[in-house]
Amino acid sequence: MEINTRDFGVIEVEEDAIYEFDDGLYGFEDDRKFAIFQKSFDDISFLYLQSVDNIVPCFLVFEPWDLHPDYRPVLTQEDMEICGVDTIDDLIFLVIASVPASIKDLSINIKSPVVLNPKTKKARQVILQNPDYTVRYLPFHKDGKAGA
Amino acid sequence: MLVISRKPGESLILSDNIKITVVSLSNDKVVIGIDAPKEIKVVREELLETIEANKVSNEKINQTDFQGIAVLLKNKKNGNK
Repeated sequence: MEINTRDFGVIEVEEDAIYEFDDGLYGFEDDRKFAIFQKSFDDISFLYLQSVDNIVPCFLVFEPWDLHPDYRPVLTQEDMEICGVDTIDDLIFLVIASVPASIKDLSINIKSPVVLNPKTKKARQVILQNPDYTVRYLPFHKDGKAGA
Repeated sequence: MLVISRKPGESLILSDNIKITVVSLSNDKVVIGIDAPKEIKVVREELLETIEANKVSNEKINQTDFQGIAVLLKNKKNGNK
């Protein structure tokens, strides 16, 4: 199907790249359907999470382990049940990035990842139980923090 | 920051009309009850932070930024800083 994107105009996406967020995303509760698509630059693929019905909300997302190899997300039992899984291994995790003017300060929200269930095509933004995880992890700084 | 100790069942009063009660304690969790007027918004800090982070992340990204990000990603993969 064709969707209108924020950053790339109209593009074609596969039906199975569409996920339903029954609760929307935090702060964007009105948009329920999102497409995941890839864009390549310099032989690196970037992932986007794009509302199907509007050009925003739209987010650049990453697979967290690419930027945080030791990532160990802990979900609440309630979130696991809503996602319809017994183990987090059955979920796809994506973290939302913020890209400031100084690119080295790109941050990812490792506290509130987006989790997708590829079997049900349902997705949800969860707030993890990990107390040390922050909404502004800096993967291109030492220890993920500024000033280091 | 003001730090006060309370036992389960004990409360604090803020501005005469907000009552915060420690309901129960377990190993690493405190259950807190809040009695407040309807107009007082109560929200978990991480939820508010997530809403803010989502708003910032919703900004359009310049195509030229991707080249820079690609370089940072490659360097990270190669173990450079």
